[in-house]
Amino acid sequence: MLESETQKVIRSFNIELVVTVFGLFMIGLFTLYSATEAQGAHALVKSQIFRFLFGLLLGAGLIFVDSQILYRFSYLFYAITLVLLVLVLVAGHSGGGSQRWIGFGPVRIQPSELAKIGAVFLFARYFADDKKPPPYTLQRLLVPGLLIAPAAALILIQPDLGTCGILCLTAGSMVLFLGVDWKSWVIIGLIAAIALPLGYTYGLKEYQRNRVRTFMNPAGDPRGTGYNAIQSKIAVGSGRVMGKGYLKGTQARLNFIPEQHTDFIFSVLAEERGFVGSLILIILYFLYCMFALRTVTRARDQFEILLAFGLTSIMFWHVFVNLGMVVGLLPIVGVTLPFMSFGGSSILTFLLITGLILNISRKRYIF
Amino acid sequence: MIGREQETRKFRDRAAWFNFVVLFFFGLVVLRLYHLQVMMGSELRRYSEANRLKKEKLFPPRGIIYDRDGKVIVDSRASFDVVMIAQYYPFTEKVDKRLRKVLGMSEEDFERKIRKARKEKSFHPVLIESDVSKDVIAAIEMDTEEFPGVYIEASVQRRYPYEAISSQVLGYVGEVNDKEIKSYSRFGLEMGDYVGKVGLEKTYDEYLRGVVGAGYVEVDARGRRRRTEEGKKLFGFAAQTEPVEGSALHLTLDMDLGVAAYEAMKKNEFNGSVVALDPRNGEVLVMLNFPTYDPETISGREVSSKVWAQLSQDEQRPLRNRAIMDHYPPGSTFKLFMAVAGMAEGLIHKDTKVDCKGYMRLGNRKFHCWKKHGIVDLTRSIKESCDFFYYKVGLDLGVDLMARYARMFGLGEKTGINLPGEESGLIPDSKWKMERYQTPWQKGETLPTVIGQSFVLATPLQMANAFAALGNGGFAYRPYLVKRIVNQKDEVVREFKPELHRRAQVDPQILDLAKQGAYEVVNEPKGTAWWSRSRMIGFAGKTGTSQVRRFDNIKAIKCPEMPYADRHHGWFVAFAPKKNPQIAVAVVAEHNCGGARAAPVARDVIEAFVKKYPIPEEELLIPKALPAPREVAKDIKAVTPAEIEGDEVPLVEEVDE
Repeated sequence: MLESETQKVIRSFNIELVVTVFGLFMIGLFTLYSATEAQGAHALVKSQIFRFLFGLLLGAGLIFVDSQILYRFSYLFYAITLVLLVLVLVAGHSGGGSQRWIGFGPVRIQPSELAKIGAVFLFARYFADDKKPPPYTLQRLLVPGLLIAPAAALILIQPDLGTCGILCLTAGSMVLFLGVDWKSWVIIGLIAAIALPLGYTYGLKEYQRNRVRTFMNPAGDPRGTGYNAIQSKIAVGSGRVMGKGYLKGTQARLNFIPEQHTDFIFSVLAEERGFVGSLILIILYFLYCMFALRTVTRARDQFEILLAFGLTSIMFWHVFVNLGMVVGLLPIVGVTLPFMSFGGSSILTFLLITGLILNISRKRYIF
Repeated sequence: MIGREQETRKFRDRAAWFNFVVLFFFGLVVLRLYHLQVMMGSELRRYSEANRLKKEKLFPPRGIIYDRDGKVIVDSRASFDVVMIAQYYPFTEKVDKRLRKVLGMSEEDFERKIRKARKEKSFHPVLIESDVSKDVIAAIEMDTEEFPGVYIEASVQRRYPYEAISSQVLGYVGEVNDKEIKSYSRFGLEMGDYVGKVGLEKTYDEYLRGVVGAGYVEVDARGRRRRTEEGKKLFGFAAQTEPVEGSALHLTLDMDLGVAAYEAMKKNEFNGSVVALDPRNGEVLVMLNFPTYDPETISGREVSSKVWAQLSQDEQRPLRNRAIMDHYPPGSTFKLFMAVAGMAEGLIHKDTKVDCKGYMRLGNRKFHCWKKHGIVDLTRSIKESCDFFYYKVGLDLGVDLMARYARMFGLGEKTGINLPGEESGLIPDSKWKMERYQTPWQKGETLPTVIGQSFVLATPLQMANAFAALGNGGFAYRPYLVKRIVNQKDEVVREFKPELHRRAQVDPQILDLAKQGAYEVVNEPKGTAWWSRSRMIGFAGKTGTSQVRRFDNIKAIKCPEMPYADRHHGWFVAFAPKKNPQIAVAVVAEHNCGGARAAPVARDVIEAFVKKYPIPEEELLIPKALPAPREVAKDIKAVTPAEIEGDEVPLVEEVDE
């Protein structure tokens, strides 16, 4: 009996997704080593592995949680992330000019990372419960919009423009996936046209505005963020087709690139492994998204479909925004590259997401 | 639930379509990568090799500092530094020798710089010599092949046309250090930027600083720099942001009076401080200290360690702004406020007469007066600085009332002038004594206190301000140095207005009596500053002497015979004209035995003021007996007794019963 159960699990296991994750993580480790060789790479690599293993354990645990439980606790989970977001404002640690961390004994977590997952749970549950069929009009989107607004606002005032952006993009993707009435599209477009300049002037902090300005015109601030954008571009471009070779990159290794082991880790890979290496990495990310989306087709009900799709969206937007920023397609915002960037919160978040996706994908065979 | 089933199936199909969405977005990134790495790759590779594209700072001229008439006190000039990029420098003995010769540096200094350059990351420019002469620039620029990796960098050097006048007030400028980078983080300062280190340069740094610009320069294979058009093409932007000039400070200082004060202090070889204020609003007209220094010698990218060591280790502390940072017992200048206190409390009046017996006995101690005055009335007690009179006033008042009145004139607390490091001075009372020493106030302590000795402390600025308040009817303004700040577009960024700091609520007739006493100090025979009266104006003032050290047998040694460091400080605080003062001056002459010695400095400042700003005939009150022109004896040992009369610190004697 026990064996047949195990066999089922193995058979149903989305093993290709797991392989992709390991592949990405290994590339990440090597790149991390190269990026930080000058500043004690061994310690950083070791701690990255430790965090990965810890995340693996948690993620694996999530695979076996019954989906009914996930469904039932959706709103509670979102509420908890909101409470944590408030806590971080009141009693959080600050780093790099914003308050993002909160400590529980020796563990420090970044509630904004959890909030992204929480928001997906919120939307999955809300729309799964909605019995009226799509397309959605603005009136029908008002309530979910109000529900998600506090999370977005709390992250924005930390301030963490990047994570807030990912949250909104993910929520938007889910709504899009459900289907939106065309008239509402027009109205959304109009509102965006008015709100964007207003938000730019009144909603953003000076340094955030600077980043946007820098993106439009990197020479406007060659001393600060503009410098990063240009140096990052040089690093990526100088890799050419085949790259300079492992441990031979000069830009990142000589500290021309800021945050070269966290947000800008891709520039190290692009410089040392060139176009070919970058392409391989992007293909791996594409495979991840593909395998994850396949889960959606295996899901049993609306809730699972939406959950799997939303989680995949987080992953996708993280990759796209991060790469876009490093290659100069998008303004510089603090968004990590999944499985590559150094940092416990990021690793943990994406392993939890993967665990949840695997959870959904196994269902079809067991029941 | 068939409808739900269908819905679910529709979503499953739709999910498959999203693969193409992902493909589209990732495709954008790949296209961009293709553009950067394949199409622009070789050009960008060249930039990354030796990091050819370098950021270069473009320093703005720092804001100019003007005096009240628009005379330039501080401005900037272009200067040039010699820097080295170690990567391109050969470090051979031959080149070393050649470079050292051109720069004219000592072997030791040069070696230190070369060692520093070797240690730096190879692409960081290292300063070899700052503010070099035209000859050096020419030698290096003309013969670039001879000095690979060495080049000239444009910079800005602060210039101080008035040299050493008021240098501690103005401050100087230097390269920002680690600690300052943190505290100025909101301004985004970087290593190598300049900030004001002390004085006004520091207080108003954010206005004076301006905005550092940046440009990109391309570094060629030899380590030479040139502005790059290619970079502009490659990155699609104008590769430069222009620096923005700093805002200008318009000060309240009057440099004409400053020069007069400086000359007077210098002529007499005094160490100490001169402060002059406008009693009508608190504008500081003069603030300077001796000994002093020329800020240009320590302003800039690099300070000669020799010059710095000399200034910072000098026992006479030339870097210190004594006018606000040092407090001294104000001595007899304090009596004026005690006279006001006694009158205001109804303990003495215009015709109160006291018989000065030369000492007062309290318990088993004898508190001497510097002279046996005989019958003394109120104005005479000020004019001849009778200690005995004030012993009586002090005992009647008690320390707490004394303190109350002194504080009404702004003494015993910071004036709030906008300069770093102001001392608060000290006006003791019984509560303070209890907190500080856990013992109650003793009557015996009241006597030295009422004549401004023992615990009482005041800065030159505080005394000038207190006299200004006494002269103007009781209004102590907050002294200020900056009138307005004007940016490079000629817009007023900030404006400073007079602000009332303390108000002494005293009957004007009482103040007038005290002022009359102060007038007689200078303009009546036997007044303690009689020898320093002016032919141009009858000004009011008060001498004071602050004891530096306590002696058991003070009578045994006359002040001029003491070693320099033990001699008393001389105070003279004055205002003019008597009726509606337009200037108040405080002078401290350190270790000069008496206030009468300091008086000529104040007189010179007041005379300079009268020459510049005409005063109505009827307010001049020129003394009846005009002084013969004479100089104060420079050698303190040759001082006539008359010159320091009244300035001996009174003796306290233990008496055996």
